[in-house]
Amino acid sequence: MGRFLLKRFFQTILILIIISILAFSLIHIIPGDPVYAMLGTDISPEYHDQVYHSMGLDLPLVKQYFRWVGNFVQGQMGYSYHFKEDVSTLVARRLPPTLILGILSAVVSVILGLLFGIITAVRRGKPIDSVLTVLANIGIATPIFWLAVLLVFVFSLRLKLLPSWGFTFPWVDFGRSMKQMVMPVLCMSVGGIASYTRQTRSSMLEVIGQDYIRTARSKGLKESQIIKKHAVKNALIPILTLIGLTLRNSIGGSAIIERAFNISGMGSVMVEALSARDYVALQSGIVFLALITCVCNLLVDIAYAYADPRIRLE
Amino acid sequence: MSDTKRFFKALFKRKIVAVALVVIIFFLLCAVASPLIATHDPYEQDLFNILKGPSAEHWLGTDNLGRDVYSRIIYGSRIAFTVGIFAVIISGVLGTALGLAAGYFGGWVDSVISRLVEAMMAIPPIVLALALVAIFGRSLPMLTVVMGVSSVPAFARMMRGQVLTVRDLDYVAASRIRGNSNFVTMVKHILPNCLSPMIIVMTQSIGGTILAEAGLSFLGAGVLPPAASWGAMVSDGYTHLSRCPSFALSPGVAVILLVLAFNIFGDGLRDALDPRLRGSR
Amino acid sequence: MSEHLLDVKHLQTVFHMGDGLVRAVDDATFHVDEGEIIGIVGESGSGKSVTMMSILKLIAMPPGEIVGGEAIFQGRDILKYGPTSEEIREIRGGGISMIFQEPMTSLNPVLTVGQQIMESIMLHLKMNKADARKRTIELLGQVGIPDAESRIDYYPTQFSGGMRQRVMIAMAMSCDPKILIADEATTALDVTTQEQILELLRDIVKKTNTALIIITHNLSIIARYAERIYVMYAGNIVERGTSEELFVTPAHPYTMGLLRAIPRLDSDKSRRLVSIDGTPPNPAKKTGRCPFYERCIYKEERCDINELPEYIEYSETQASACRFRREELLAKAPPEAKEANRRSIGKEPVLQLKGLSKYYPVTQGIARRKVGDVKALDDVDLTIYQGETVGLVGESGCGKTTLAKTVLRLHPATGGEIIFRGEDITNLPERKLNSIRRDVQFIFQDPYGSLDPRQTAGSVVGEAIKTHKLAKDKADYERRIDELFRAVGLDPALKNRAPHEFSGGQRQRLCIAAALASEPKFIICDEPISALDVSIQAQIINLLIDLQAERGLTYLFIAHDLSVVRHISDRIAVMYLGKVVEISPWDRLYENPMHPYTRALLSAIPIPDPVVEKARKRTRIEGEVPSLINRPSGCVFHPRCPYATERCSKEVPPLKDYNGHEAACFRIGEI
Repeated sequence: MGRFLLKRFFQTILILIIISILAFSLIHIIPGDPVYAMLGTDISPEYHDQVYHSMGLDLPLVKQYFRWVGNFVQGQMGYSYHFKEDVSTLVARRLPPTLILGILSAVVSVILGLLFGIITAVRRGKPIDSVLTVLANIGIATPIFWLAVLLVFVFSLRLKLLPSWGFTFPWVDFGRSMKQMVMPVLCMSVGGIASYTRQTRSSMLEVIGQDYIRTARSKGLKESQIIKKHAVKNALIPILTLIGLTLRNSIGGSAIIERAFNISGMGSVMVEALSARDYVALQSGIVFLALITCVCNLLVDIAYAYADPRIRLE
Repeated sequence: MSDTKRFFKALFKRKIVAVALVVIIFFLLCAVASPLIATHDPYEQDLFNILKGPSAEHWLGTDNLGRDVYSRIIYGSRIAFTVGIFAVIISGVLGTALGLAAGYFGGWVDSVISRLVEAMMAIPPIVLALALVAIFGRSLPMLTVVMGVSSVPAFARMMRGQVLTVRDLDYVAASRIRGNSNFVTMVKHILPNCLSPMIIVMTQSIGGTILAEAGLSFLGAGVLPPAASWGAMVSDGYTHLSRCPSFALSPGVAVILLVLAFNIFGDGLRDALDPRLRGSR
Repeated sequence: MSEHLLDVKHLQTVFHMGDGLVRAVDDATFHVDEGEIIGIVGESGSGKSVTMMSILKLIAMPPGEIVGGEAIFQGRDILKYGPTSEEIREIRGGGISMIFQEPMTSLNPVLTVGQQIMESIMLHLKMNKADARKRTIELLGQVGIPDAESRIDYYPTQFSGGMRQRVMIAMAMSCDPKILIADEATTALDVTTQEQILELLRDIVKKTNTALIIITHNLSIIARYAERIYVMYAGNIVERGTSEELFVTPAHPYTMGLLRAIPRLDSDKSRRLVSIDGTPPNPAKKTGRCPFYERCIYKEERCDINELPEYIEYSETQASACRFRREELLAKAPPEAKEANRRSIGKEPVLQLKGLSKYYPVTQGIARRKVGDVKALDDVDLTIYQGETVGLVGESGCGKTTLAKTVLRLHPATGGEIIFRGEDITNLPERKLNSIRRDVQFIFQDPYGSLDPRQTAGSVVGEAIKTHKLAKDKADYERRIDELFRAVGLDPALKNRAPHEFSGGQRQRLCIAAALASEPKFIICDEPISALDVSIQAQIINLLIDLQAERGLTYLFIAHDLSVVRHISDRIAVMYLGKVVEISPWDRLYENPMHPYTRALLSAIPIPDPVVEKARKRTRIEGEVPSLINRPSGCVFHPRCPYATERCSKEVPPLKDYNGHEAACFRIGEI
């Protein structure tokens, strides 16, 4: 197991290096002068040169890259001219709401998705299977922004049950926080629930056809025990590898959800930074989000290696 | 002949697949013959009749500039189809080529491609698409390229896996023993046998690509206005949700219908082409 | 009420498939008594496994359905119980337990073996956890798993195939069942392991007075172990009898045919095998008439009616479902056992291997530091002469397939020389290999995996003609393909079909045709018949022998089955863990095997004749083939060798020549 994890660890480092290079190149790939693009063309040439120099754009590329990475690792992500603050403080302020929503919806999608997946597989061909499968198909096909609009229309405008916008930390005002989070979390998890349902279902069906399930039946075990003890654990191992990407997808979706529910989180930072051509925030944002994904993937690898004795005992 | 017949029989074994195909064809007609099916010019503004609900004149009401929502949805199918299909072709072709190279050659080629793919997959898809939009711009062809490029990694990974399974099969070794070069073996024996799962996944991803494009337009990073894009329409309508819900909600229904149809058709195609279900033994 | 332990009458099982009704079991009637060992023998698709699974309601329902019959077990008809009923679950594992074919997939990979056995014990014997654990350790010890106290907490991946099958036996025997069903339980194992497992099964059921039902396609195994035998064909039991009766006085044309078709360790080699023509009927297209009708050489008009033949009883135990009595069949002209084709073996070598080695590096850590070698082939010397067939036998991991791939230059050799017709091809660059690719061909084991499913049969066969530009024009190309089809006994009209439209035997014919297309001189056959049904095997062997005589081919014939190798080969090489341990002319190897491993291998193979079987002297060896990574020092065989000495563990014995019979052992002469 150690060997497997060590290998994954080094691969992750390599992946992060590649991402940092990609993000770093962004500023040089996008057409036009980066400083004018960020600050507009009506600034004085002196100011332009000053910013150009302070961003280190006059250094050789390799040197620029290492300066940027070095600063990043020390937590200095540069100054954003658009947000008018250091990117590190920006991230510290805007990431928590996104993370809270993302983690909540990831948890909801995994739990409900697995549950529905197991139910549909065990009750294959029964009405509940058909209903959930149809719902899962619709769930995958529904744009989350449209779902957000629909929910706002029904629950905020018509029924006036839930607030249509904003975010409050649960430790500030728990009741309000919950009310504000219901709809965003629901929207962010629908796609996840639907795809986990489908994947768990097919994984379960595959496992149920395996020889060792036949062996378990030939021992006279009850069907419910066979599912619980023999099938579920095996079926979840391949699903586990997908879980690492759940938080990534939730965070990606947060760009849309934050706009729909007017929440100022990390997703909206990325959208704003792009439209304002704020490369400083953009570069660091991309690396930061990718870092989160990589950490999740690594955690999943550890869980995977532990759950599957074939790898654990390698 | 008999194989083709068997394929269609398997494809339409579930009636819903046929229904899905009908829906796809319907939207395709809308896209190709938009002027015939639309009732109004989608760009014609009527500032005296803004944000009206459904009526005999405007079946789905009007938007904030008094344009006919129904006609804009019909024209919007052009964007959905263009992006959905061409982006998938781009990512399918590029992904297949990269995956084939990684899987067949192995070694450092594989390592480079695999790490690059994993790196791109670690960036949240929307963020990746936004970054690519910043590079390529927002015209329809460029947007198609963006959507295509952002799903290359998934296809490359899938193809690589396929090649790895096929590469070790006996008939690939048999081809080499018969004296075929690496290139012939790859093109004649490996590629055709990896293609059908790729075609299945490509069909299944058209829906997802349409969804992603809609999401991008919703964020205001899609095709430039005044082009009628479903996502942008929902976004515009959202501001006026309390006054005119039909404006914001109806384009979404179109998205769901088309995406659902593509997904169901893709599943049907998988069931019909899946070699495990075909009587190979 | 029935006096038998299990009495099955007229069992009938069907599967409702998309394109019609598949009649898997038409009419199965059999019984088993307490402590008895019976065998059910049949080819794949004969319905033998479905019969057993039906009794325990283990078939998937739907699409499966048990349409008729009864199965009386301890006075109760267990077919009446639902597939998830309390009653049937009590019988499964508690009354009747089963062992399955694939030891690698039949145990749950995420639970320890202890958990899986204890689960059964706690369920059926109502023991608490501590007692169940104690019993499990005892059972594991009884089935020959050393150090059971700690191994009880191992996962299935930590056991070898043979050990897993022992675990399966422990699990199946854990609740004192009355009947144990072994469904092809040893088919996936190495020959020597197979023998160990079967011996273990026999000892354990005799000790506990459990009835054992052995289901297999292998007639020889049955001859050695079963007391009574049922022969199944296309969903019907066509003959039953004691093993003596079936092997000495078979009464059904199918049984007779099988016995003539399988090569035996003690058979006369100068005559061809008499193959059963045709293929078993497609169970989806069966009519009601005698299932063997199509392939029967004795059939007459009266057989062609849509009714199954009645059993003719010959004794209390023997009966056959044929309209003719045994004497009538024998009175008809028996099939001519044709003289085997004669051919001459040249003096000039076609292939010479000198000290051929193939190592795979073992790496460690991230930097892939090399820490050692896996020696898949270690210093192999072998010469094959023009027109000769050399048989290469050995168990898994012995290097036989690696040898083939190295000779074919599919991967580079680590050391040594490969000399083909006087030319050293060991390090020939890829672009210069073209003529070798033309002259050396290969036939794979699996006729399903070796044909590209996306090509038509004709283009697979013609591929080499195109690659080597052998055809003058399009017409010549087509003519050559037709000729090749006919040469392997296929109708050229089938050339536009896809490979999946052919049966297993036909596919192997296609592979042979594809190999012949480039007009090769030398063909390596890698277990070409082991994936085929028993009744088809003889057809392919005969075809290979005929082609060799017609075209002057030279064969390297790789197999794990010594009886087949013996039938086809002029000389035989025995390999063990990458080393050739013995090479000898075929007759001398069987009369006087020199290496202890060859002896063990020979005695592990049963002869399909209970009378001969009982009189045989046998050498048994312990343990299983070790993994190549833990290759023993000195003589690779010494840890399993009953004659090993100090010296054997330190020095590597060289291959020594004893008048054209070579063996690598220090103790030849002493043992």
